[in-house]
Amino acid sequence: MSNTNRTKLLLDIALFAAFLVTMDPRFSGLAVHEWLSLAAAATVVVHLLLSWSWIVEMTKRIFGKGLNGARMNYILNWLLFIDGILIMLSGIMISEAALPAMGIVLPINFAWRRLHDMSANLSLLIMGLHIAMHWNWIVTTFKRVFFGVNKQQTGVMAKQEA
Amino acid sequence: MSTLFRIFVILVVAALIGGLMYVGVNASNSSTSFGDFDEGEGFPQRSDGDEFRPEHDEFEEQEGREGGRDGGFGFPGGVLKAVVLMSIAGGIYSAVAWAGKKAKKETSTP
Repeated sequence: MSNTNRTKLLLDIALFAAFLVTMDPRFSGLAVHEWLSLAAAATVVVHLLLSWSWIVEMTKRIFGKGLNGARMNYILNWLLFIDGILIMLSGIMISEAALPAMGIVLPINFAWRRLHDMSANLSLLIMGLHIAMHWNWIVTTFKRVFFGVNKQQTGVMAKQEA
Repeated sequence: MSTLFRIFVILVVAALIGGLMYVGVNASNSSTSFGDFDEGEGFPQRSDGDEFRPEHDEFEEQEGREGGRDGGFGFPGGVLKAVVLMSIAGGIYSAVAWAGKKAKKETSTP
């Protein structure tokens, strides 16, 4: 079990928990919603850094033959990245807690609120697909990190499940 | 050093995409949102009160719903909604992927 995979899994679990909490600002409160989102954005950068070699490799081979699943995954990741930027940007533009606390007051444009809602709803769809595409990795790594199941055992278990 | 360069690349790409979005949204709204404001008045600024809040504020009190602007850790309806919608999206993907694999298997066997 590599340290990178363990770090990736723990980071992703934290990111997912933060994503869920920020999806309900009434539950967490506006201040937590905004500050947690800003922290999650920084964590996404670490998430991307941990997958950097795959991103570079796929960018080089995106128009190559085969790789249909990986290509779809790559395009979906870009969509998620763009949608994430839209969520963050629109969230910053309508911020009522984090930015004012830093002394920054932005002009009001209610289009950003609509965009924030729309992009957040879209992110649920894309995130669902993103998790589904990585489900095997999540389950395998989870078993290895939390239950100490090694690579060969997970292979046997997967065969038995099939 | 390479990590710093990678962070820089990610931030530059994010800034480019965000910049394009900002320009696009402001361009599409410049002719409609603030048409009633005279030149020189500038954009309306966020106030401490509720002066500029939209009519249907998502944080308005709703019956039977705890939480609000300050939170409250009541029933996490939004979290449940998020989990259900993501599960549906993931489930549909998994079903399509499974059907695709099955069809491929059937066509490959004589």
